Amino acid sequence: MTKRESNAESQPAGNAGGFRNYLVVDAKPVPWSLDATMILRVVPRVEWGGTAMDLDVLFGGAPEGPPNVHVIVLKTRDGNIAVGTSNSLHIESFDERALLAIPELVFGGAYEHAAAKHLIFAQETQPVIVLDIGALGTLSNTQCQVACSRITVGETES
Amino acid sequence: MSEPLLMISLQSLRLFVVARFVREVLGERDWIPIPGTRHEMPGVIGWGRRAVAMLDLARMGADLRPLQVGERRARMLLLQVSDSNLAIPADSVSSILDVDSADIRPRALTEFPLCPREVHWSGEVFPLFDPNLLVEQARTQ
Repeated sequence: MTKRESNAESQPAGNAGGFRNYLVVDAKPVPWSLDATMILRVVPRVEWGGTAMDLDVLFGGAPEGPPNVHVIVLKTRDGNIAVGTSNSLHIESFDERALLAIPELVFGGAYEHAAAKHLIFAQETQPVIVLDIGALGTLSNTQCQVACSRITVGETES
Repeated sequence: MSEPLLMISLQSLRLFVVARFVREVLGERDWIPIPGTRHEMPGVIGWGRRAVAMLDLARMGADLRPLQVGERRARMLLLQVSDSNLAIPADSVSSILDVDSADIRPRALTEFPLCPREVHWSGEVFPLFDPNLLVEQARTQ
């Protein structure tokens, strides 16, 4: 779980870390991204073992079952989680000093479980949602069940 | 005594907001949809080096067409409510209108959400939007 943001107006996140690599998922209408250092493994277009969240579904997109998904295994403080997407992927380097906090106001009481905590404008024009991997792990069972039903179970990640 | 108000027009909806909340009236602005948000606040706008919560009033009233992804409206009203900013897309925003305080009364004839008072103006009655209620609601949810 990330530090809870104040309900105050969004401020630049002010991370002094400079540039960091992100895995960008080219979703419509807004791409989203994950901190690449938290990624254990990316499995492209194959059946995947274990339970995975279909983030396309979570984000209101159309579900696609295997083998048409890329599965990304992420390391979180509470254990590993797998997420799936049928969108294309690429790595991009973002200057974290330019991250904008998404105001808590738009989430209301659901903020603790919101995975979208920051935005960044790639090349100063295209907004990209930066997902909070910690928050992904806290999504409610209901949210996960909807998503998980879209990805079948194969071998288990070791 | 009078109170300075602005009128917001959005499709068939016309409502007032107290002028002291208004920080800026911008022109057409792109907005960024964010997944998992409250129904009436589907995304944010980039303003300065900030992301500002966007309230789509059309999602709060019947017979109004919600803002679609990629769609923009002619005006983006920027409000400051305590320590939060709020962006409201609108078709038009009036200049400041001085309304007699006696014509601002508790809601009796209008029904729009977050409007506990209404304004009797020019022979009609309009809701008076209170953005404080929105912020309070978000904090207590």
